[in-house]
Amino acid sequence: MKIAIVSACSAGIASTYMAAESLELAAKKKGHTVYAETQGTIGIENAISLKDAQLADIVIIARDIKIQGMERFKGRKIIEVGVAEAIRKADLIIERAEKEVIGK
Amino acid sequence: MEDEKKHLLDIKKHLLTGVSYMIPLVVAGGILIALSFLVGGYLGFQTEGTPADYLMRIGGGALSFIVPILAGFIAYSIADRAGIAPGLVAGYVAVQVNSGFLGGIVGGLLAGYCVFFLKKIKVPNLVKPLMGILIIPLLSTLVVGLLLYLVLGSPIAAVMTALQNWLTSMSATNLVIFGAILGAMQAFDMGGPVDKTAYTFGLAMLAQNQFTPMAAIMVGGMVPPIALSIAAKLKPAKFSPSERKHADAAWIMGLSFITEGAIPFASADPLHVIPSQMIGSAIAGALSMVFGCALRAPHGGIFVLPLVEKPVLYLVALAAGIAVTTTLVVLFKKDLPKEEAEDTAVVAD
Repeated sequence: MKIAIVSACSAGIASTYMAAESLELAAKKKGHTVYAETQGTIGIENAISLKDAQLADIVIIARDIKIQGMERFKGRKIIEVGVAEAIRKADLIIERAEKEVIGK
Repeated sequence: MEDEKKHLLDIKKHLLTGVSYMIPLVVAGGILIALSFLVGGYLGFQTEGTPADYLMRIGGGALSFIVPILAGFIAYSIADRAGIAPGLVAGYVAVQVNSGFLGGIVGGLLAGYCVFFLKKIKVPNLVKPLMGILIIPLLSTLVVGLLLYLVLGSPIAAVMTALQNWLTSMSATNLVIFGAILGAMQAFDMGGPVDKTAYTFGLAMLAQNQFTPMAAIMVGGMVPPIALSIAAKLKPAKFSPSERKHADAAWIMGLSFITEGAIPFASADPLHVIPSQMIGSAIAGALSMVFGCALRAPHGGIFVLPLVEKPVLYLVALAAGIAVTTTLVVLFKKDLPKEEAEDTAVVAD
């Protein structure tokens, strides 16, 4: 399945990227297609386009702060987690995402 | 509806959003002012046209936006872009009435909620364009500004003064405890909510011209990744191959005050690693406070050492913290079973 990931922590220099990376790795390990956007202190990187956003089966938001551009994901299934949780429990979060998508 | 309530009550998210937009200003302003002192001495900036003068003016300019941006983006987090204008003004007024960052937080929240509810009001289509461009910005800015000037400003200012007096008149014992707590909070979750709580407090103190807490916080945050890297070099048998590989990069992260560098070690063996880090960071933080090390920059690690007041003692605090954490990790962490030490163990990085 297609997973869109957006992450943002308060300082935006380390945790943001670690969260995106660990979720991305965990998702790829399960064979999913991943778009991972980071909203760090230098701005948005690997921005997810409206088209990709709407194609995602599920959206994982790892955030401690407000995420920009949430309207892209209108109508998509969204899971929200904290940044620390995303870094430490990426596998569990991906499992949860799979259940959300397949379960319904 | 449920989601909306959750959003409104998620004050932590709103505060951290404000803080995230504020940090670059504190970094630029704090470092520029410290540089002014470095090149011109403590009074150098008073001579017009000198490098110290320009550094001070530009740095001071950056700092003067701290509270307005904090308040503006707290309001943005609550009410989207319509929150920014009243939030900025709320922050400005908070500074005018000497209520500092606390006034900025309160003002930002008020502005955000005010705009949020004004946006909810149902109006005839004819008036709708006027709401966005005229009524919401005008009304919210006026109401929040008046509230701060007439009602909330002075009580908040009194709280800030009390806090400042408490900080400046702290006894040596309290300094030790205070510094130890700030340091240990960094090591507890390495970039997580507890760490960020201490860090946000340090930022707030910078905005109040109190520079010792940030020094204690930074040194506490530098200890874990450096100490764990050293421990992994000293006793490789206690670390998995991927941890050992991570150790090559983690010490640089530590020197740069990116405490997250210790997470892979901590998540592989939290029960031994986290307490060891907390004790070392507590010692480093306590020493920094007792020595009176002060730091105007909220980030930068070893690279802002020239800007630290009492840099040599600061290094002593850092080295002491590293020595303690490294020793404790080496003592308490067990050797890994042979196959795990050789295979690529799964590490949460």
